[in-house]
Amino acid sequence: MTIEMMHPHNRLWAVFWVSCALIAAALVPRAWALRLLYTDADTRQRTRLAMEIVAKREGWILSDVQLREVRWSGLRIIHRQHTRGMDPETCYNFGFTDLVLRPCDS
Amino acid sequence: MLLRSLLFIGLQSFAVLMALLHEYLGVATDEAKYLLDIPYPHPPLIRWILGLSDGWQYQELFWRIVFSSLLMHCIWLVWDMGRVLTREQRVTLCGLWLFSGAFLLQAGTVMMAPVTAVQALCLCWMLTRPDMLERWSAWLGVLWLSMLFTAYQGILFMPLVFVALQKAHLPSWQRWLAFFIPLGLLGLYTLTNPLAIASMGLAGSMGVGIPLAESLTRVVRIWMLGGGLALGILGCIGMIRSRNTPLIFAFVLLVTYVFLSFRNYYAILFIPLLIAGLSGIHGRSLLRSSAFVLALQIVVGIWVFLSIPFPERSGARDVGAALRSANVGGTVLIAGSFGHEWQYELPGPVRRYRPELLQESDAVVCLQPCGDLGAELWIRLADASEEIWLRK
Repeated sequence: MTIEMMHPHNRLWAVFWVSCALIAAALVPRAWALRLLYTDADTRQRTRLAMEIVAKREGWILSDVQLREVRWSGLRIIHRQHTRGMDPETCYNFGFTDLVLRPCDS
Repeated sequence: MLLRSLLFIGLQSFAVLMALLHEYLGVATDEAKYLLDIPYPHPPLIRWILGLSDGWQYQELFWRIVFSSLLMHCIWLVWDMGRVLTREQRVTLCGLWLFSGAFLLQAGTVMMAPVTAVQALCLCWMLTRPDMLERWSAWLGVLWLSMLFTAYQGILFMPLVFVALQKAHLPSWQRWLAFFIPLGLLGLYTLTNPLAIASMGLAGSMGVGIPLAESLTRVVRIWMLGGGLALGILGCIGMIRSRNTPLIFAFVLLVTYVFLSFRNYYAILFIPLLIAGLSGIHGRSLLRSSAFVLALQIVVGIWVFLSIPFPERSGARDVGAALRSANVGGTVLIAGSFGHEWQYELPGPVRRYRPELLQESDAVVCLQPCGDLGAELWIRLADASEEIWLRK
């Protein structure tokens, strides 16, 4: 490490670049898992419809549902019930055709 | 020193008072969204920090005091920004910050707009300190990244960031990357959160179908709410006279944004720009009658504070207290339309009412008729502000 790098100002720039890299590393896999949503209009429409139907059927608040993965055949979602303290969270898979929720670990 | 200490105590007391007022009014739906870290519409930085403390009983009051204090103590930056003004004019400038209508209405709320306003003021202050900007340019990068990941409206201040990075005497590659990489990351975050895209679409289409004259009236109203009569007008004149292009460009972006999505809480975003417009050399002539300007600002600010009604208090807090006293901790079903404050105030998870879900719930709140729940399984809670049914 050079003397210049050890200057607090340069260290702060290093923190900035590392933060950017970490944010990108966290976001890229998530965006990639949702790519069909942006590349295929039909899948996008089916996703919207499926989410609305499932949320209505289960009495879920739509903002409690996070889309984790979009596949040709269905979706992977996380249902996180926002409450004070620990939020109960469950991961589900479901197909566009049957819309039956299956826990991710089953 | 004594004067500064007294001023500090006075400002802090004012901050606590404003926080207590909003605590009394109850949690608004948007505030609950941030306090519970519900992932829309804004990026996650501040709401994630808020969400870490959502199990704490005094979370709401704590963050109200923090947000309110941040806004109050910005006057130290405002004071420094007015270095070219006389002492009396600097006091006036600080008074203009403290007594604008938006400030009085929003200090003590847990919203993202006041945080963005504080960040924008920091940015405007950094621009008046080129020596520090050069030495500590990394803070500019950190501020830009944090602004964008606090709320989408942070993007409106990009002309100021761009100019500040130019003034920081950085290598050209570093300037461009420091400016564009945070924007790219924000775009990437948006792709991972389709709900944010949907809610932005809704917010952006608020003005669709509304006559132009009415939209313009709303923009002027929000601008006046932000600056009050004195700061609103003088700040703009100062901005134009000083030919401060990035400031004017940021102002135009903000006006366009408000034109598309007119919410009263965006008014506070005008204040840092108007203060920056008035704090330069042209402020000397504009603030010649500084006592009159300050008096006008105080009168208009208090009039706005008293004349704009605060949102009606939701019944969520009372229902939450009633359910806690009845020892309900499981799922609560709610029939009818409700906001996120119900999620915040109720003791257990909240779901929308459907008769098929009754077996999985401990209580039902009927904000609209629920139909027959079955008297053998459910008992109505007496003396509650809303219709509440508990499992027998």
